[in-house]
Amino acid sequence: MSRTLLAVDGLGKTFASRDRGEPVKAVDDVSFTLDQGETLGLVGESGSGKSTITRCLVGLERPDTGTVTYDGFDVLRAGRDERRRFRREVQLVFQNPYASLNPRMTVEDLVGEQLLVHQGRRSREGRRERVVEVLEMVGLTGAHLPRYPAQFSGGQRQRIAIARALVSEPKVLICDEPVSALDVSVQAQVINLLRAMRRELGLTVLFIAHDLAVVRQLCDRLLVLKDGRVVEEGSREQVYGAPAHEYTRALLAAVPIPDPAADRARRRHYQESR
Amino acid sequence: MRTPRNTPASDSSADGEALLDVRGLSVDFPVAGGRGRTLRIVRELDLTVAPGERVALVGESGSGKSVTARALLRLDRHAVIGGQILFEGRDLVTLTERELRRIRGTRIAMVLQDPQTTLNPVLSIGDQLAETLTIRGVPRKAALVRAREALDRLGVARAGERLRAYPHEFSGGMRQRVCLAMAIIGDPAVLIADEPTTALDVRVQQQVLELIDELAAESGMAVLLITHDLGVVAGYADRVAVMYAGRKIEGSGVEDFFAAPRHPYAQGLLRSVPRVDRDVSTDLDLIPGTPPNPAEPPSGCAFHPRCDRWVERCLTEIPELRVLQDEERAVACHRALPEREEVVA
Repeated sequence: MSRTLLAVDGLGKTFASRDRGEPVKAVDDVSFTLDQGETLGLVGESGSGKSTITRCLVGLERPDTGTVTYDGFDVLRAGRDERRRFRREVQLVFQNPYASLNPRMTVEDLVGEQLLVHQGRRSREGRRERVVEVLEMVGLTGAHLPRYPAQFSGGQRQRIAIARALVSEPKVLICDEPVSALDVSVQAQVINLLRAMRRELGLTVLFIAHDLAVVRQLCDRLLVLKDGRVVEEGSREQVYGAPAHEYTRALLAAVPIPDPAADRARRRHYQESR
Repeated sequence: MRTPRNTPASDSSADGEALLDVRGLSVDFPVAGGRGRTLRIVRELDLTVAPGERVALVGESGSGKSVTARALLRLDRHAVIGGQILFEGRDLVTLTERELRRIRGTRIAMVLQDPQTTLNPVLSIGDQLAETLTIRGVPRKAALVRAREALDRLGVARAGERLRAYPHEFSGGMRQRVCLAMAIIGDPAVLIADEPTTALDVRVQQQVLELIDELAAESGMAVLLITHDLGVVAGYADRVAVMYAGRKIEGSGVEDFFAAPRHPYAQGLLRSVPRVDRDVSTDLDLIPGTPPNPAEPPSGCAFHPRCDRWVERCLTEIPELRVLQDEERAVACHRALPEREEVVA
């Protein structure tokens, strides 16, 4: 059996409502585990709680209830050293590479910053060497070191963001809608890159997305969220082949397929199985 | 959902009965601080839309699809528009601003991507809907009745009550329905929908697209759908025009297009889309590189730096859009892909 790296148990988060009505249960008793080497997809529409779960996981939000366990220790109550280890080994890639990269930092500094924080003892040359190594992994080169984010396209920026996440040799990569801001042809490039990184580095990935077609290309297992609760959990084959929950079926039936005949057949299929 | 009308699956509307007939459209924008210099964003674009027909204009960012949509109604004040936009016997390019105002919103209506920014946050839904009519002289009371009918027609529950609500009280999907109601309240002949569902969740997207479809089927309204999503094209269009770097590079009936695109870019794009009905054991097929910067288009065919079929000629000579022999489709490529046999499904 594979080892559980990250475990979320009974996670709950309630926000006060904007217009002083009922408080909103953004996340309601969510539990799941992330095993070493697997890619788990967290799927849901807006308001499903997927972003709040992510924010709770990485400490940007404090959950009301529940625990997050990483490699045996309680992340929310961890001491300094454990917290530091968590931050080094669990890295994030955000949705919007136009907002997530500091426009005043060069690629070398953006990617190298992680090494300064987490492996301060490396020399400047040692850092540069490692930065170039990671840039080449994601399809960029050493020639890009002195450039600024503004000099790159959206897809290249997302590669820089991925390099930044990978440079400290993390075990877990949390990707929050990493391709949804990209053009179709560029989206495919980044999906392939993530597939390659996962394969070559043996990464464990938590992939948060709303696009079920993208998730299918990347995830071994899926968690379908609705209104803060998990409504379906299963392997990729299971969820796409024989979705158990009505909501999952409705979602799958609504994703357009770029093939008129297949699109018509699929809609008939899901409508009949309802 | 309707089956695409594929008879004939031509690059132009059936029997020359175009309602909107765009010929050689070009759109130039002045360069900021460029001392009168301009940048050509759309070039030599031909496009026709027949009554009741649903035409999709597809492209990635920078392809010029939205600029084209906006140019049809001359919405960008600084844009310099060339060519002809023929609509109901008139050329919209040469109309005065005053004449054009009688067409905008009534004869040709538009729905934009983001209903949040389309709607005025301090006006009630009823007032916004009615405004479309009152500015044309319809009495307020009558306009409100029609507003209510429009919401009803779009499946907004308790329409009467909702007229008094404000945009922030609506969900994204509901807001887009309101925008759609605003667009159709004047019974337009053409609806231009610019990425109308990109900001919406999939289930809501499906509802909104199906509504547009029903409206087109019921009233004979023509739809020009601007989108980057080939899945949306497959489900909700009769014909498709693909844009790249400001030019139309392929145009055909939807069934033919998806069976085998003939332009290498169109084929690459179609292959690179992840499909919800398919697992991939291997990586996705890719188009290398990125779409070109409109300010610095490559020489010759703008796609050649990303194309694996290029020849000498592609570097220097811009391929013209030509109708393929024995086929109802037009392609702008020196090395158009052969018909089905060589194409791997």
